[in-house]
Amino acid sequence: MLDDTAKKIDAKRLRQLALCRCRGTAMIEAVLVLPLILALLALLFYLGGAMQRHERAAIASRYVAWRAAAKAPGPQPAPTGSNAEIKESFFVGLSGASAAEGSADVDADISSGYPSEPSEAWATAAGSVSFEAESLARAYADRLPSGVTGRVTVQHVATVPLWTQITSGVSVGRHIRLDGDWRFTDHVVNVEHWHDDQARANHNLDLKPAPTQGPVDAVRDTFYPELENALSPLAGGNDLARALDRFYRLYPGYAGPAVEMQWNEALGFY
Amino acid sequence: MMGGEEAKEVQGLSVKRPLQRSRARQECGGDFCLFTQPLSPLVPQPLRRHCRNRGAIMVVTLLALVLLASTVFYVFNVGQHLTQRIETQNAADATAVASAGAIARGFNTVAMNNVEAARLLALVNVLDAVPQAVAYTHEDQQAVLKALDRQLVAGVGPDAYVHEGLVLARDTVSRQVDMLAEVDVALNGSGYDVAAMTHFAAPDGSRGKLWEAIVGLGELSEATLSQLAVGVQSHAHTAARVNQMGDSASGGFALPLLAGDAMAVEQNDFEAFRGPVVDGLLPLEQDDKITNRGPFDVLFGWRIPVFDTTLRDRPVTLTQGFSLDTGVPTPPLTETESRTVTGYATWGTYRYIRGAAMRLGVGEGPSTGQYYPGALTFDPERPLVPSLWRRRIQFISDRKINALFPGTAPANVVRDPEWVTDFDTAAAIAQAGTPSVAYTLYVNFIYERRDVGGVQGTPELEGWGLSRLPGYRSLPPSARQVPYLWKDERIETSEDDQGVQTQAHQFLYAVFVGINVGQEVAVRNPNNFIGSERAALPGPVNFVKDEAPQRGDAALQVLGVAHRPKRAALWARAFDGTRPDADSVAVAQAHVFNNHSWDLWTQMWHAQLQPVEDLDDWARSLDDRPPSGSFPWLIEGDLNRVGDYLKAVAPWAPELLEH
Repeated sequence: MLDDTAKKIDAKRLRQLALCRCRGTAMIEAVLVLPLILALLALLFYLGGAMQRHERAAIASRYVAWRAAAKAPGPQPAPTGSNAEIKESFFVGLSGASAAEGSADVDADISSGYPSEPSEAWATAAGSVSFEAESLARAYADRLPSGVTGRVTVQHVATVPLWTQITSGVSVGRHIRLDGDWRFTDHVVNVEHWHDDQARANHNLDLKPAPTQGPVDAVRDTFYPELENALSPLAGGNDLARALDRFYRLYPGYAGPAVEMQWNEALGFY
Repeated sequence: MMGGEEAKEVQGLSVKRPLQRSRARQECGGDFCLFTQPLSPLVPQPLRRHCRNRGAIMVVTLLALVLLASTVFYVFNVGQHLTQRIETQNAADATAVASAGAIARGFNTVAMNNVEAARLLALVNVLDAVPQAVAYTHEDQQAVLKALDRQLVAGVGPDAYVHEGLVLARDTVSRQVDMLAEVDVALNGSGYDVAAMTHFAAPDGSRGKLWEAIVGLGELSEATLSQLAVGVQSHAHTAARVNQMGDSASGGFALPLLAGDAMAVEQNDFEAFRGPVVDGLLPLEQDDKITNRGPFDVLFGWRIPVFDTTLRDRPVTLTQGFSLDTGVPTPPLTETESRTVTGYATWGTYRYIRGAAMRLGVGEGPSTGQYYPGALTFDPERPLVPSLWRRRIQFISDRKINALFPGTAPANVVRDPEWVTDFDTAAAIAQAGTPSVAYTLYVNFIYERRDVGGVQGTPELEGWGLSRLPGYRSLPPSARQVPYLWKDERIETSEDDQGVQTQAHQFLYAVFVGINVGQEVAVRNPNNFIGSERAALPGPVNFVKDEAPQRGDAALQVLGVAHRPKRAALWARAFDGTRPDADSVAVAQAHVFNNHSWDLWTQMWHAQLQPVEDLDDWARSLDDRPPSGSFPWLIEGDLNRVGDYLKAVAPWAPELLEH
């Protein structure tokens, strides 16, 4: 009887001892691993956001390049437009200054240029016909629009220092496209607006500079720069020499009736 | 009972299974074990099992961490994949527009070469006339300057205000003479001869530079069209590569692989330039008033209405000015307010270029008859206003263009400027009849004075210019104010609602310049071909007649394809597996069109994206591809894989490509 009682007491004591020793371990383990889990989860969200920024940068850069090539209306980067407009148009939600984890800063720009391989292949083919044709092809390629690059950089402004240690937080989207197709642009598409001011000017039959997508300067520089050399010493103060210089470089342009265009107040262009 | 059995079990375990106990200790050991002492053998089995479960959370957590890390990788890879899909589709769009743009650029290049060649053919004749016209105008303006100086010395009589006009005119003419002197030396007296540019056979025996340019333009057109298919693929490949962010395994091409090669083009002979140069029409009767008007009409607007001169609607009165012959106002001319337009005519590059040259000496305002109006002040844009420049350059150019394309312009006589500025000598020459007098020149000043309600106003200079009268024209002695200066006057009276009368007095003053007794001179011909040289010159390039492409033609459709291997950026071994679609492939379709005139003269060819159509046909077009090596940057394996992919997805194309 006494033995039984002793055994019971011993078992109970041991149980209490064991329970006492194991108590709190789960909590401690959880506390230890929780930061890891939270860090991974946060990284998951951060990477998701980063991917979203990257995707939007890709889309925005394409827009910037295509708009510039088409000289179309719409938000455009600084200095002609405003990077804030690009930000508002493509990065809504990512750019909210109230976002707890930070905000995004957008920088967009346009540059001209295109890889040289196609024009080089063209010039080489022209060279197989004649040296003059090759020279002219190179002169065209140098002077006429080649391509346009839209570049959009999204900088994630992190309030959590960890992110700046893991990654720079910068996503870059870049898109390059052929800039136009060398259409005649005298009165059809000029500078940044789709309107017809040039035609109005032409209607007065004034001499005007050669259109931006014409061959005149390339042909002159390739074949006959001599007259320019003869007139240029006079051109500084000689209005007749200047007028003659403009005259012989005059490329056919619009000389028809002025086209009436209506200003579209809502869209902000003709 | 129970306690005894448990103790036995415990005792039994401690004896028979020491390894288990040791494992239990091990499981509870290490850094995470809270048991610093070995468990007593008396600890019952359930408790031991409980202890052995310590660390299970850790295991589960580690597994979860692996899972979470995999998820992170997965999110990253999926994000990366989606971004790449966007980039690949953007690249395909850029590929399509670049390859179609290459066709459009090729056509536009040929078009501007054709127009430029037509411009140069006109310029050859007008530019060659410039040195002679400059020299002659220089002499003309010297005579005018002499007359103005003489008048300033002689005075202006009672109307003192005319002096101000004379000074103003003298300033302008003096400036013109200075400019003309410099340019005259540059073009006629400095050793430089514009003939080196304009003459087919230049004085030094070489080919004229402008003619070299005409040949070069034709050669470039030929080369552009012959390498069009290569150019298309070069553009396509480049656009696909640069837009896939440096993935070295990415690529792209355009379908059909020989895009742009199916156009039926031909090089016309040199005589085909006549239409564009003279008439502003496409050569060889390719002109069509509805569909194929060429650039001169639809792009440049070089057209004038043709009236039915037998029909006159309503006569209107035009105020014409003064008559220097009689000294009395001319009777009003009667013209029609509107006439019936029966059609319209176009003009070519010659008239355009010649007009541009003439405008250097044409002032604002009406230019009727022989009156050459000038501005009040010097206009640097039209530095030879007023002068006889317009007539000089026109007559000389016309003679030259007629040598290239006979019948282009009237055959006017070009006269040497030989001025007799002394009035009495001029009168004597005119009376003697020899040499014959070509024309008489005066400088005109028009003043206006408005007298309102009997209050005399102040005369103000309205304008000044030159008038050239055929033969010898002496003005009536009654109108003469002082030597060399004549005056004429006309009055218009009007009355307003309150009965106040206004008299507008217009005064015309004419200063005698002189008579030109110059004889007809020869005009050199820049179109100095010998034998078959002219026939050997290249003509314009154009589509073969009746075989020009039409809107929607397959030859003007291009499918841009961009592709890149699918690769996981993180943990590629786990995420990348064998899959049937090993590449991300994107397609876009573009077409080429001309919304002005479907020819190789109108530089309005345009490339534009459009919805993808008939993917199956595009895929099958890869089967008939040219031999490998035609486009060195295209890889056969890529073409095969992409072709298989396109064929495989073609049945679902309507759903996949739902735009």
